[in-house]
Order: sequence, then C-alpha cells, then structure tokens
Amino acid sequence: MSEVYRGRAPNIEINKITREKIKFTLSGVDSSVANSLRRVMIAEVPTMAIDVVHIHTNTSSLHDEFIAHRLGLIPLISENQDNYDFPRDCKCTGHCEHCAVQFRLKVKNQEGGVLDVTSRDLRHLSQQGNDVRPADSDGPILILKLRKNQEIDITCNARKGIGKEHAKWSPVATAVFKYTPDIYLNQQRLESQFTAEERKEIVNSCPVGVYKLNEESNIEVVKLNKCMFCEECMRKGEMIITRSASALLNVHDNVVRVSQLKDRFIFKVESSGALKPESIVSKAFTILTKKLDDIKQLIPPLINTR
Amino acid sequence: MNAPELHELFTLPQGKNKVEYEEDSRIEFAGTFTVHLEDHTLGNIIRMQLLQDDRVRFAGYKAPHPLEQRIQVKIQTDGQISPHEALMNSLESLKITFKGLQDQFEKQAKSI
Repeated sequence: MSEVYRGRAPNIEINKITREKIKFTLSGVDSSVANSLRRVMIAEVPTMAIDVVHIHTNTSSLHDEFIAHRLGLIPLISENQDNYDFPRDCKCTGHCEHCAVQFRLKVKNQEGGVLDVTSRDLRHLSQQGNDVRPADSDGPILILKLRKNQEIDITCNARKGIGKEHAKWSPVATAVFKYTPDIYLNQQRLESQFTAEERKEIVNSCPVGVYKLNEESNIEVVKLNKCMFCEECMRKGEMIITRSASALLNVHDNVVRVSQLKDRFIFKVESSGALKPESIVSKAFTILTKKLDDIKQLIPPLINTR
Repeated sequence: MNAPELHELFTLPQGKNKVEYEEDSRIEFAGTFTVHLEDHTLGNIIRMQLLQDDRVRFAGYKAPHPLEQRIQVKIQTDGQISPHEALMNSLESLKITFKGLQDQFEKQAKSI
C-alpha cells in the first residue's frame, strides 16, 4: 500500500518525443494518479477501427472471420475522431457519416503468382471520411495473400470505440511507468577500499550499462534512467566487501545502493499509429477531467433528497 | 456463455443513477457512494485524495466484482464536513491537478 503523498506541486516534463513514442516524467503526485493516467491511455482514449465487416466474396485461403479480425486490428489514423460519434450515441440506425467511415476491399488475382492484399487496397466508399485512413506510412500492412483466380470483395465500417471494449481501439502499443531510480555510490570507500579491478567488476555487473568508469577509473552513473532495479550492482558490491571482510553486511554498509523515488514517475508511451503520442497523453487528461466532472455534477442532487 | 453483455460497459443498469449514496446505519458522518460504470481508474485516485484531507477519518474503495461495472467509495468524516463535501472537495482538487498537468504538458508539447 502506497503512503499518502503530501509534497511538491504536480509537475510534468517531456523528455523526448518522436513520431511514435513519447517519454515524460511525472512528479509531485501519488502513484494512484500515475496509474489512472496509464489506465486511461490504454483503455479509454477513443480511436477509430474497422468494426463491422460485410464479406461479399471470399475465395481466399483464409476464412471470413479470420479476415474480419485482421481488418479490425489495422490502426486507422484517428486524429479527427472528435468529429465522429460513438455508434451507441448516434441518432441513426445502422450507420451514417457521423459515426462510420466505409471502406471497400475488392481484389482479384488475375495474373497468377501470389498477390499481396494490403492496407493500401482499402478504398474509401465515399468522399468524406478521408481523414480516417490506415496508419501505414511505414509500409503497407499485409492483410492476406491471393493465388491465381482467388478473389475477395469486402465492405467494412470503421467506427469509434475504446480499448475497454476491444483492444483494437487502444491507441497505445505500450504505456508503462516506473519509479525514478536513485543510486547512491559511496565514492570515498570505493576509492579507498576497492581496487580499480573491483570497481570495474561493479561497472560490468550492470546488464543495462548504467555505470561507466571515468578517466580516474572511478565509477560514474551515466545512464540513470536505464536502471531496472535488478540490484546486480548491489549484490556485486556486497560480494566484494564480504570477500575481504567475511561478515554479514548491513544494507547501509554497502558501497552501492539503488532505491526508488516514489513520487517521480518515468512514463514511456508508444503509439499504435492511430494517434500522435502527445495527443494520446493530452486526450487522456481530458478524459480523466471529464470523468471527475461528471461525477461531481451528479453528487448534489443526493444532498437534497436526503 | 455467461459473459456479461457488451452494453453493460457503457449503459447504466435500469433504474440506477450514476452516483448513489447510502448513509451508514451505525456510524455517524459515514456513508458509501456507489459509482456506476467506473473502475479502479477513478476509485484509487479518489480514495488517495480523500485520505489527504485531515477531516476524513476513513476512506476506502472497492470494486465489488470484476464483471460488475461499479465501485463503492466508503467515507467517514470527523463531523466538520459531510461525506458529500469531502467527496466534492477531493474531486475538485483532482480536477485542478489534472488540468494543471494537462496545461503544462500541452505547452511543452507545442514548443518541442
């Protein structure tokens, strides 16, 4: 059970953004806040995904539901998802331009050999909805392969949904956070009681390369955030000390100590391609705020009816 | 075969309100809020926020069953405020926290 947090003001700092990934540090909040942010990014940020599939012809070697499932998993660019309604909220029966984007996949292999059917073969059925298209700028996404005279003809609807209902609507591939590592090195003892060889042993004990030996052959922390709390370095330090002193070691006597700062969270979020990583995070905040607001709006009537 | 219906994720059970309150029959200034269609995402932050209030004697939450879309938040206060006010305050401060974080985040994202 985490302790109640009373401390610094909430703060967020972006460390790195690329096209598909974002790293940021959230600090000054309790772990529950970090966890809700993570949970909302995974399960409650809406995107568009193919949801209803009509198969008119399928003479390929894959059966219908198999293809339908694969179509569903294709990430669709959903930056404009605010323009669409959830099918359950839409006034129409069936589908309309406010809640669905229609695609057609019609391919026949007439030339022989093996023909790849990819996300690039998906065509919009109407002019509008062109903003929702497969996120395949890194190369076409393979759906199935056709041999000579095999044919598929499919129409499908992309609809808005959330990851809670089906993981295909989740905008993230990874959304994780960890505590910030805090590494203490007793440099004085490392210098006086350890040989250069032993210091090198500690440096090499780290599987992710957190440490480096500097010019004076002293240990230096170079990649703090890589630390994954395996404590190999602590074990190594302990081993070296007990090798010479042969005594049970108190943790605080160790020359290397790894601990966690429990109010600083390092987040790593990778997008599926449906949304830009920074919009996933900021949408998650919007959704959380809205949820809290909804509940708040619904409490007052309770007081009156008591 | 006995899987819950998909719509249960999004629609309130018949005759239920989103937030319901039941006063504790034995303890003063205490009661249980039932929030439908919410889960640990909100339950945990609300509980932790309530615990930061000195006037709250007890705050806890549970999701009674993983297939039922509701959480229960139990609050006991010291009498200076009602459980309603305690919940309102914590929701408000959480909102401020998230708003603040969002503003900071968006400002930075724009400048990168």
